[in-house]
Amino acid sequence: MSIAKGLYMEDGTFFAAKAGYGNGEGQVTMVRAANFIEIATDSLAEGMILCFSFPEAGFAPVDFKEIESLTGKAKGVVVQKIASTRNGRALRDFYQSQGIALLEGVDTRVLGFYLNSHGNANGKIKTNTDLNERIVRRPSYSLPNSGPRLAVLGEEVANNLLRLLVKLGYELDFYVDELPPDFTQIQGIITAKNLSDSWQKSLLNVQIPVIAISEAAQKLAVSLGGELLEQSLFTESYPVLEVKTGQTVTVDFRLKNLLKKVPGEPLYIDLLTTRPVAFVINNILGFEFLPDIFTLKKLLRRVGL
Amino acid sequence: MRDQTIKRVVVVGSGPIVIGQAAEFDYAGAQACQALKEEGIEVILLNSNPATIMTDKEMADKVYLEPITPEILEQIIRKERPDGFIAGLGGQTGLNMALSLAKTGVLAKYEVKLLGTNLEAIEKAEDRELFKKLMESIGEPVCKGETVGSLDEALNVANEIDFPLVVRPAFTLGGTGGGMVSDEKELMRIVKKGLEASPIGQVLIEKSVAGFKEIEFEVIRDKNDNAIAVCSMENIDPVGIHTGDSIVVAPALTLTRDELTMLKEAALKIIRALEIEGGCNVQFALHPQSKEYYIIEVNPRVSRSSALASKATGYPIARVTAKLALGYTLPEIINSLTKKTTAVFEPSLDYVVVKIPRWPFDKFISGDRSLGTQMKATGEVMAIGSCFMEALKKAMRGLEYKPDLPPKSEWEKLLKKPDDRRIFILEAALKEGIEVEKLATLTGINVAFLEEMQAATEKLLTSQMTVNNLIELKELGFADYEIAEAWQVAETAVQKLRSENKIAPVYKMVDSCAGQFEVHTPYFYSTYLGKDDPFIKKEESVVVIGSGPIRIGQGLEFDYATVHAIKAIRELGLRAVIINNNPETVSTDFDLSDALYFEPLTLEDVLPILKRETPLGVIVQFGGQTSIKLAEGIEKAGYKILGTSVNSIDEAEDRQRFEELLESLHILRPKGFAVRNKNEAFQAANSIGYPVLVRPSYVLGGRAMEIIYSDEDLETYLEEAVKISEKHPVLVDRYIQGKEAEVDAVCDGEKVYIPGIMEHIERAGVHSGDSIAVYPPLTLSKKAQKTIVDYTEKIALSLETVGLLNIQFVVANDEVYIIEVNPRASRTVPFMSKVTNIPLAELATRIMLGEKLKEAGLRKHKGDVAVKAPVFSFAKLIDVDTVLGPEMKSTGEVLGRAPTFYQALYKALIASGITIPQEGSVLFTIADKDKNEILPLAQGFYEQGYHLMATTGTAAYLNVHGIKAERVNKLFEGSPNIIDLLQKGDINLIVNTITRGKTPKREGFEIRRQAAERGICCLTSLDTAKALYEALKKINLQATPLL
Repeated sequence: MSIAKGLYMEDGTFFAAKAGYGNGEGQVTMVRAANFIEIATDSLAEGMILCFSFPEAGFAPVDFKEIESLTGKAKGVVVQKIASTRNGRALRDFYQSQGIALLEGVDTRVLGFYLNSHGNANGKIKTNTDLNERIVRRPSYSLPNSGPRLAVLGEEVANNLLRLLVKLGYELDFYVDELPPDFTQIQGIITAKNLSDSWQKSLLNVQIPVIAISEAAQKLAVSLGGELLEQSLFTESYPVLEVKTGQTVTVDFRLKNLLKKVPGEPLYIDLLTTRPVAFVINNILGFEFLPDIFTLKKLLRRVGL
Repeated sequence: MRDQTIKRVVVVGSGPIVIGQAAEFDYAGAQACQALKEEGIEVILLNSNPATIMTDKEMADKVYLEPITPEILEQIIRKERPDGFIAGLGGQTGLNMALSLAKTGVLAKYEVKLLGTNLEAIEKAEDRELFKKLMESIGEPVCKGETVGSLDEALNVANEIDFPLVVRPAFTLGGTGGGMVSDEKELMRIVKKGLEASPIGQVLIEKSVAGFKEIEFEVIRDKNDNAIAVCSMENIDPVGIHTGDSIVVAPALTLTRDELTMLKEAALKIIRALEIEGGCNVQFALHPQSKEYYIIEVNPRVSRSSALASKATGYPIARVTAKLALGYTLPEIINSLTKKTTAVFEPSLDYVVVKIPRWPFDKFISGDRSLGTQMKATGEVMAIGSCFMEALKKAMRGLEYKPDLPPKSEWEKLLKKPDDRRIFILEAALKEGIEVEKLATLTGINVAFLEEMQAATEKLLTSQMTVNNLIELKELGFADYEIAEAWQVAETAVQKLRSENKIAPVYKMVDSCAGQFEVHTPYFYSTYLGKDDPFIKKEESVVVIGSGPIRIGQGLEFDYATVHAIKAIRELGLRAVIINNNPETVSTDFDLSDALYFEPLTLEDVLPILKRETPLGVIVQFGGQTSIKLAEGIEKAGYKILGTSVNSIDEAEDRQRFEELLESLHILRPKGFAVRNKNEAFQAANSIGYPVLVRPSYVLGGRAMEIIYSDEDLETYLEEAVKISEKHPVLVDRYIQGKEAEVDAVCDGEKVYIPGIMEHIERAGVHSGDSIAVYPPLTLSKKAQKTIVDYTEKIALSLETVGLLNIQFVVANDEVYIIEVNPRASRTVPFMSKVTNIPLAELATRIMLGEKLKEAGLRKHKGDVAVKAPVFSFAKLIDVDTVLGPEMKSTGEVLGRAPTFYQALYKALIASGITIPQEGSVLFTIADKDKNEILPLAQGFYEQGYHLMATTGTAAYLNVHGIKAERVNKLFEGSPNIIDLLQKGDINLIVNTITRGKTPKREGFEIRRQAAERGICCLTSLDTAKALYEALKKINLQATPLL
């Protein structure tokens, strides 16, 4: 049965919305500033549903420098209106990417009156659409930014890795089922996809850096002469060693198989088993873990990004 | 706490309404006077504008309706011995008075404290160099710039500042001779031109910030250094267009958090550095892609923007400023809107406000309508909505003006170099599918605004007629007629769909706190999003429809009458409800009425309010034509129009019905015909006999009346000025060259009361609004006056008038003819109310609500002579001919009162800002038809010691008649010609009558324009010139008593 889209308060009061996605539950709080990104990503907003009284969002550009933390903290955001502008679309995308449910077209004045008389109360955002854990992608769209432009192929690159790239200033173009039409318009490609043969061939021949992660790294490594160690699903955190500097860092692994041999010299090795976990050859940078921001920067520098 | 030593305070108003200084200062002044009186302060007020609420008796303990000059102000100070003087409420006029009196030592001599903003702060904000130094000292960036007097100096400056630069010649208007330069070659060319154009041979070279975003902050500070930002505002138009001519949105929408914080902090830093105690406006230029910004301007006083911010937020800046001037601090002042917060609480907006200027180019069709750094708007509308589009669309329809669009081929040019039609062209371009990026490049408007407009337009054009689509379109602010047009159905079909599905606006309060506190101040705006705010209506209500934006012909006078109507309704114990959309005025002060609806004055917007208020009746008599044209629709919807009936209004306005009425009453009117083709026009003109008064029977881009003297001129008029056709007849009336008189009367349906008859100085042919009016009449015979009273009574009673009525007459050879009857309040109501001490609007309101007149007939004149003089804004309206004629051109008015006519006239002329030369040269350039009238005038000036100059024909005529006049060259007669002499300052006064009409290409036009731009008095009516001469001869202002 379809439910009415809106904010359901714990005492049964309902505030209807005109649009929205996702579900979330938390303490509902009024926000009278226009810091749509900053507050939603502030650790103080952890678990909250934020109701913005500012009349219309989406005119100002999404400024990623306002991000207070790498993961969205608020459970949901309620607004009166988000403009039908590219900035408005970017703001919606941002909330989705952060796992923040969104309600639009709510009479925030009435909600404000309610909160004044009830104090901060708990509520649930309910919509007919589930908020995907991952970034909801449409064919070919962009997260604008000031830095180099990367094409993100497929839907497999993890959200937190994308957030790091955004934080580092990269502009991201998303391609779900197609390759970018013009490689001269982008400075690099990033993918974690289980690449088809034809895509592998294309990526090995492009003149720009290709960052291959997890399954994509394994596929390309095998194409270039590497080998795989077959495993069932593998999820763990453990230290890896940077061969060049001897420094170690703990990273997350979340993948099916493991690399046994990489083409050329490995960049990082698994400290426990000494098996290779990252490599660079020609334009291809491959690694099979989720790096932190410093490790990611080091890796990207290897291919000139 | 407040300074207890302050007991008597002088407040100075801003004087007459001119472009750039309008009703906002009456709003601020009235609010401040009330705030001071609340504190038990004795208020002494000086203003020359009778159409202001602040000059009402109850607003101050002593009101001086006198010219605002340092001399008069000194006389007042000498007489009244006040403790303090508040300068920041009278606009630039107030600040100038403060500076002048401080510099001449008057304030020190009489121990008068300058309250609020101190002298040093005013000087620092007003003096370019001091301001620059201060900004540098606090690390706030200002545009680099230098004033130069030669090409070499210009080059040196350009080497120091990067291109692009902007060159502004000193003391020229509308950027004449200046422009943008992007390289050295262009710099040389423009500076050369600018140096030639500048009367003092100087140009200012500045770093150009054209294309930057223009952001404003209204900030306020107290003596303890508490300071808050009341409101942020964003000009949709980028820097390059005067903020008064820009479409403004509040709160600022396109700024990121960092940008907003950066500019707010800068604004607060500036008000603190200037140590302003009160409100202040700070304008920024912000680079659209980076955080580079510059301070463009700081106004250390209340302003047009502060009035807008007050109305937008509900934070009464002028009131708080007045309290701060008395020594209070922000935390000590209670916010009168919330009644729960103090003035230190920053307002928070959960709605969007859009302001659109109202330009006068429906009147001045030959004027230069391009927009730039010189403000040209006479007024503005404000609209409030839940979102940008809703507010924008409401503001657009509130303008009551939709210009004819130029051909598509001109759009690109006009988007790049905009004029008053830009927002309408943008809308049309989006409908045509022109890409947003292209429009953004052409206009410099932030792409977000354009994208939002595009999305709304697309929705309008592509949606099918469904309930959901209708809801969405109404939320975007589209009017029913626009939706009907897009859906290709009748407007009634859209109305029906709305009604069947209960799609109606809700009303929310402007609460200044975005619902943070429970507020019951009934200041409402409509929206299609959400639910009604709590609404309590106890008493029975009367709704007054306001007059909308200030425009030529419908100015502050109508707001004056509206305010008095509201006060009268409240005094009668009824709930007074006002609907209006002008943020500058007193009528839209939420404190004035029991309910204020800030809404467009269209039937669609007004009827739902009436449905909600279910009033006893609706008053349409005070809002000029704006409210009158709604009367029929309101009545049809089942609401009672109070006062004169809709049928009677129609009888007065319908030419045929009105002629029949006059005929039945045996009242004369100038003979006339409605003609439908050229032949009929010539036949009519020749049967009446030239000169004739011609005008279209419909409005076509503001083209209106002209006096035509010959077949040739009629031919030109019919070719150029109107499109005559079966559907669009032209009215040809006999032009009677007589004296004009005017009457405002109150009628209760049985009796008629006439407070007085006004006589115009200029003969018929000059619009009554542009004429100098004198009360009591100077030269009208007893017989003529008796006839005027008789006609007024007959017409008022025959029209079954209940309330006010205005009638204009022309008197020739003691015969009285009716020119026009207005079944409503006129622009002379405040003037007559002030000079007779009879509150006409209040009286009329009481009559409309059932009271009866206690007196009847013509009131006997007692006391002084009063003169109402028009005030023009020609200096700011490039290419507008200053010649007076049947079409109104003035923007404001002043009052002069004195025991004799010439004293009163002299005062009025001084107050109107005319520079009256006490010596020097008078230029006569007179049309042949008028030459026989000028001999006594010219002789008089000559005998008073003035040097006479005249163009060839006029000089010959004067010399032949024994009056010595120097012949001067016309433009084509070689140098030095008249323009050269004007530029050199060799001509001090011009008397110029025209050969024909208003074709602005003739030499006389050039002379009049040069005079306007150089502030030289140019009189185009011999009657005005004669009156001025007589006043000059007889009067010494210092010897004229204050009243």
